[in-house]
Amino acid sequence: MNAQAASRWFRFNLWLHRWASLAATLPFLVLCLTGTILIFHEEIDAALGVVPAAAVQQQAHRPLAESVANVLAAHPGERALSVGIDAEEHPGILLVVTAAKGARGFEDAKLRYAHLATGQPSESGGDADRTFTGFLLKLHAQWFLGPVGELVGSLIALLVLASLLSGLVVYAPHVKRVAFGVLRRGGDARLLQLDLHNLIGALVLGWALVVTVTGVLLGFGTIAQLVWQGTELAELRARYGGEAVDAERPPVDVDRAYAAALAAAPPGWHVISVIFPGTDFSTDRHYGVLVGGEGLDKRLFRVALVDAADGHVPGVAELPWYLKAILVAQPLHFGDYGGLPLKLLWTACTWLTLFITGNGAWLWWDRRRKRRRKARRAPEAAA
Amino acid sequence: MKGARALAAIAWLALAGIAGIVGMLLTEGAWNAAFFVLAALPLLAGLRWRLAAARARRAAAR
Repeated sequence: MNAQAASRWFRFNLWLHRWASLAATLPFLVLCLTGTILIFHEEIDAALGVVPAAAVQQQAHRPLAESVANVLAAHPGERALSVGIDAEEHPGILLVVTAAKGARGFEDAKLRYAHLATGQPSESGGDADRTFTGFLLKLHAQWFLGPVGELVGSLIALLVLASLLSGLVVYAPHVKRVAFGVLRRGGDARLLQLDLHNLIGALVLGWALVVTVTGVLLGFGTIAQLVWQGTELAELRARYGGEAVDAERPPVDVDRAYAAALAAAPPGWHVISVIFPGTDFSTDRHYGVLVGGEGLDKRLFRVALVDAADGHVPGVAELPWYLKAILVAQPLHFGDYGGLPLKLLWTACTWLTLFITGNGAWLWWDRRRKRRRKARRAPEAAA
Repeated sequence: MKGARALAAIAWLALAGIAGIVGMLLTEGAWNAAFFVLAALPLLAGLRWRLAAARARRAAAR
């Protein structure tokens, strides 16, 4: 690259760094604030009693179908969409996702809970986005705009990514003159802020790249899901479809579907969730049972189709690469997979990144203010 | 540290951080702790850098 092209490349990156960062500053502030709280969503939900604690801790439990029936009896007018068991985080508790009778989608779903030991419903539960963290997640992930908001979030992440990469290009000539890590405290606040901007930016670069790239991916979550429903799930429906069963009272109950899926899953895997027939994520005849293993296999679950008429498993489908990418992106974005130490690291990096976004905006504003003052003084001096 | 060396150090720190973050997702147990140290390495390096600089400044002032 000759000197002229290098200069043009530098100026383009300076322009990109400045305007991408400025455009993202305010939304990024909201994302950082909500994100910091969402990192601790498990602790907050536990403190607020969103998910009930098991009344009795015991291995044996009542049939899942009994819990589902009790929940539906307590909430007439609703149907079960899915059930979920999280033995690690919420032992002894069954999550029953319900919606109005006749509904197929999860958009207006309600979260109900039952105690596995007794089969009795809990008083906790309700709309997923009526909880404190559910509300914040809706703001963080969708800006209260639904799936369109997810794309807005993706665009913001893209702006931050552009800002990071262009910032690196802009920093390269700077570090030839000023040693990395030096903070010039000679009295000029601007130089100190610039050095802090560069130092902290370099330290959080890796983390910020992970969070922004995964943020871009997560913005396409709903689209990816729709693509899967329109292609691979539609293909499964066409291949295995048959006469529809009564989705509210399938002939094969949820316990038999659970056991059949577990038997068809790879050894050591467990059932994460059982989706009833007649939903957007199953066929009109089959349960869609999500089965997962340990580690990464827990996130990259497979879908076992269980015939709700006779209980046989016609197939266990792997998710396509684009859904796998989004599933892996989720923990990498929220940092909620490594316990408290990782959550604290995530919080520190979030606040440091927020700091450099703010001080970058200040550097721009301060430079602009000084230039304007200088421009005003020039004619006065000439007069 | 200036120029290409500084840029290389920044790139290595970023890569170490990314490797640590991804590694923690893929592993369990002791490996998890090792990858956490890698994930936190950029911040730890920054902290060590600043502490060393502060010590040097204090020594120069004396």
